[in-house]
Amino acid sequence: MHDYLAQVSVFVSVFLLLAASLNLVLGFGGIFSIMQAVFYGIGAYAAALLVVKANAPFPLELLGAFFVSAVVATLVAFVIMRLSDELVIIGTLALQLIFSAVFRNWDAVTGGSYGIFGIGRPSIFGATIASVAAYASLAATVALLCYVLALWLGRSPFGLALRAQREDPVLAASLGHDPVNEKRVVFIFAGGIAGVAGGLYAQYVGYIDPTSFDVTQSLAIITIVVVGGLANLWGTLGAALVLTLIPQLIILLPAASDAAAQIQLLLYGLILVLIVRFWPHGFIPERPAVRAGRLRTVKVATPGDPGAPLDRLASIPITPLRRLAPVVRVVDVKKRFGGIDAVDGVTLEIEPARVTALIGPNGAGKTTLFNVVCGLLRADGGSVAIGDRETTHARPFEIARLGVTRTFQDVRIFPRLTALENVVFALRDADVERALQRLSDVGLLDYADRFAGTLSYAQQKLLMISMVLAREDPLVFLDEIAAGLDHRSVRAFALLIRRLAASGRAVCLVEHNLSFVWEAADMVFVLDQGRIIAAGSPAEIQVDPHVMEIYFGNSVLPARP
Amino acid sequence: MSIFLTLVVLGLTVGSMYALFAASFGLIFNVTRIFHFAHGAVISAAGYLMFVLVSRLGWPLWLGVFGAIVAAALLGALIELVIYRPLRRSNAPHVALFLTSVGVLTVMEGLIGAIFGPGVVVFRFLPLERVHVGLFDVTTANVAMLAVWPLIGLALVYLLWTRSGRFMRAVADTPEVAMNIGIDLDATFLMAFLLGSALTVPATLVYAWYQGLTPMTGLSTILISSAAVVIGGRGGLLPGAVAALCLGVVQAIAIVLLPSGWQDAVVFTILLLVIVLRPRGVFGRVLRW
Repeated sequence: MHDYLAQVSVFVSVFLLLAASLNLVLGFGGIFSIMQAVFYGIGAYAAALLVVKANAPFPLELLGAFFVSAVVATLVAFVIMRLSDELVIIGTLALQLIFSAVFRNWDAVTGGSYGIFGIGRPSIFGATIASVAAYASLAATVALLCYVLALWLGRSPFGLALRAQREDPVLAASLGHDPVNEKRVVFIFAGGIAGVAGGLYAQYVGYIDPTSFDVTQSLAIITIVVVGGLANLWGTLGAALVLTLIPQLIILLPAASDAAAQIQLLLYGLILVLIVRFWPHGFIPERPAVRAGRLRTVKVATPGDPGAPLDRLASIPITPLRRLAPVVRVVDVKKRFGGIDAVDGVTLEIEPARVTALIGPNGAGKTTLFNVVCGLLRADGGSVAIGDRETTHARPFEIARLGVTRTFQDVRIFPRLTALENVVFALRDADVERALQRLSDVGLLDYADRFAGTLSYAQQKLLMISMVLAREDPLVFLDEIAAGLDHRSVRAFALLIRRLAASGRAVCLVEHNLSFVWEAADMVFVLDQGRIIAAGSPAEIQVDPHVMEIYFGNSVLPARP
Repeated sequence: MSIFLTLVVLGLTVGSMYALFAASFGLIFNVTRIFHFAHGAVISAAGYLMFVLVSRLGWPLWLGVFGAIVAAALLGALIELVIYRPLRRSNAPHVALFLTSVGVLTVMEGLIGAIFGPGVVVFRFLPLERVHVGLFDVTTANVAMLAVWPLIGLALVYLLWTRSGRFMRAVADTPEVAMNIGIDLDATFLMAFLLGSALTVPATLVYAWYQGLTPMTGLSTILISSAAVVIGGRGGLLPGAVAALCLGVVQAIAIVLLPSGWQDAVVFTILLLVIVLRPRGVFGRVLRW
């Protein structure tokens, strides 16, 4: 009976590792991989060969398993990480089936369908760990070490970055992250961990064959992750425990022992269907990586007038700049969509310590120009330089790292990250105390632990501003930041933006709200059909008859309030 | 050379059988955009049902097949009504639909395994005889496999020239527009599931005749037919059917060129290459419906 319990504990250890590693990939990274059993298998074969052929002592065989699986995962990651989400499912499924065929047929290495026999138990300092109980505690130790590592990773800034890019890779890139690379890293690490699980399994059973690493096994691992909750490693621990025990208990039933494998399939399938069918969203209960509750040492003055939180913006603290912002030079930039010249040879400079505004009717090419400068779109002609760096072909995260913060039209935040996590993610050093300070600056401290998606529109907008300020970047590009604001808030925003420029930053606005532009901007460029048709101070633009015509037909512009 | 040609002919027949599986999966996938893995559960269930009705209960073959067609259509519709539709209503993520679909397939695999055991069930409702067609030596089942093409033709006639067929194509093309001009999405989806599920039965019948049934039958047929549909690309049931035919030939040729056992790997390597190099599929632009 003791041996039986020990055996169960070995299997729990193995499946905990498999499910926790897959949860990093699936739950945190949002990579829907159906091939975790492949890395499990590769680790098992690698460890088995190391033990059988090379007599590798503990823990070399497990390190070897980690390494070989991680190498294969690296190759896979470079193939699949650029695919769309749906194709990742199909691609990893295809890879699972290809590798299953390799396990079955590469006789020279894997022993074909017969597998590898006579894998000895590991030895430490020459002493073999022969008893099941001793091996079980060794496996549990290894599993716990890896699990704690996974927990730590999940709560680290890297784990936060993974969840953020899963929600919105474009926004994550605009905050200086490289989502594709982050996904690759977690996929490779998780592949290695699954390899360790394979090594533990191989040395326990002493004999491995391809059926342990097939597509059914991958689906079983997904089931454990889904039952435990995506991006919730504690849930994974519980689910690995329960779902590994079920088949072990089925074997004990004399009537069912013949069909144990089938009954396990049946149960796993049923559990998967029921969980997803009845909790289609609930099967994703996130665990925030940081919470304000126990970290709240920042004592902040209670916000004044809670009725109009946007008013507070005018007096929000702004970090001073050490050096003046670099100049952004846009030279003859062109961008075509199909037959339409969205941006048709625009040349302009965005200067430090000033607010530059791009205005123009809908479809004038303002946001397209923004996206070209920020690397989201590739220019068809012309060049962009930030300071003395040529950035025409730089990618969004590279441009963000040069000190550019941009916002997107409307509000764009990470809905399934808490408000606090949003700000922590935006900060360069991920410092929680400072993030709390930033939140309290905009009066959102009380909402720190709420998921950003559940905040009101105005609160989300404040959160977005808080993230912009948290970046402390010298270049700030704001796309229609005043949209949807009432008159008072517009004035507060204008003041905030003036102060940003006064600190030496270069601020660039794309705006429809003209009274906001007149109030905030030093320099205005008017775009129409992809070209600049007028440039000058707000006072000059306001009396330009050509501009008036584009905006209002032949009527007169409203005077300054 | 003659061995090679014989294999090509064999590949064309087996590929034809895959083509019907792929066409049925492709119909559902194009109309509903659900990656309906549970289609494999429908295939398995109908196969074992025919086996029980005909071999165990002694029903005449035509009646057994008819019963299986009805059962398959109902099972497909049931999956749509009980699982997919409520999930769509609650705006579940796409992945959720796929996961339940896989779950249903797994349940069916386990259920069949628990009842019939994990081994092969032989279903010889007619003797499987060698026949000589011209120079080639094939089995009666291989000849029967070619009969799927008239069935695919019938399905096409339905899609091209009937009112509800046109609705289906409209929904497959742009669901939003189709809904705005008053097409009932739910009804069209249900129709796709009924038709797509029923369409599998003839292919399942020859499959069972040719190589018997195992609990894994549903999984292996759905893997190859979904691979064919992705390789073929969007645009109706023809791209998938033609891709399936090609896969049949490639698999057959792989038997000569590679050691046995590697045929699956060839199919899924092709799938992988296609989604990396041509993510929109190979025939989607050329073949419509």
